[in-house]
Amino acid sequence: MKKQRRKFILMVVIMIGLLLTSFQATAETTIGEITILQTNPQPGSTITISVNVSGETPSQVNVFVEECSNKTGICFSDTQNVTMPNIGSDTYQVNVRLRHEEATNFTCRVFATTSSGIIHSAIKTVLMYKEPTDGNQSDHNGTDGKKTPGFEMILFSIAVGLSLIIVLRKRFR
Amino acid sequence: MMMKNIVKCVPVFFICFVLLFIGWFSGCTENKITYMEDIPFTALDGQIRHLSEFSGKVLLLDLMGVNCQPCALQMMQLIKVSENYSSDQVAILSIDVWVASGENAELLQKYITAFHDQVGVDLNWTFGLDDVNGSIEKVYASTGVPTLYIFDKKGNIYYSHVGYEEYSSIAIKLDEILKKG
Repeated sequence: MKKQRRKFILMVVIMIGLLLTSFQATAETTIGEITILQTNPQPGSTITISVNVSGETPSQVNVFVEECSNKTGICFSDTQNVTMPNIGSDTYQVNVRLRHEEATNFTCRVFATTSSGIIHSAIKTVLMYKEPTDGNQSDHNGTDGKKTPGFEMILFSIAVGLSLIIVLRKRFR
Repeated sequence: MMMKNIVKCVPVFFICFVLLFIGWFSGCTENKITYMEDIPFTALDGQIRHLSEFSGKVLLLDLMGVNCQPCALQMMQLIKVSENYSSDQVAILSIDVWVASGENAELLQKYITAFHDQVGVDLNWTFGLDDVNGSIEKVYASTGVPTLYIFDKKGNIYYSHVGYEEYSSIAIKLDEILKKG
């Protein structure tokens, strides 16, 4: 009787173990909250995106980064699709350089490719606050927003230079 | 002698000025489309449709993304267009061009339903999706979304705007083109 009870208990334990193992094997992949490691990301800066993916280990984890400008009411089309490497345990992390100086916010969405398909995270929107420079409103060229010739001026200078050389050479012959 | 030298230099000057002007204008020109390129799109019911189906009507083409905030604001302006212009006069077509970023028919349908449930308005015009290669986005919305186009009845591009656009500005352009017939 005791032997039978032991056998029964052993079978139940094995069954529970098998059941738990199967649960683990088919555990649904869940993507945790997306974290941006920088506290105040700036337009044009490099951001670090981190996310936890639990359950079945995905074959690939990607993040889509879309930059938008609320000033001009546009979301730029050059969406970045970056693969996130696993940096240990269930954490996936990647550095992404933001492309648009005029962007006021960006959104991130993580996609995990698993055996049961592609699973996506909730969207994370991050507002960016650009520190005003000390009363200097000029753009990067220091042109105060006025368009000045660049490439054209180089060609023009070459033209003038060549002409001068030709004239001088002829004159001193 | 001096005069001869100057005359000899004229071709050099000419070549340099040609180079200068090529350089000048190369930065100003864009590969702008002027006529409707008949690219197919997938309607919400899964059917493949074409932009040319709208010829004979003024077409307001809205390139958008479900997760694009300015596009949601643009929808509110398009609602005003649908309220003030009959569908016989102006056809509205919104195409989600963020399919390559994971958006799909299900998300787009949820978006339309959310406008109905949460805002209390019906987006009662045609909606569609770009393909995964972003064929429509590459031609019509290469800068970003929302991007609006107004095509005349023959398919010529009458107006385009990148970024959010107020109803009043859209209405001015629509009135202009409707007057022209």
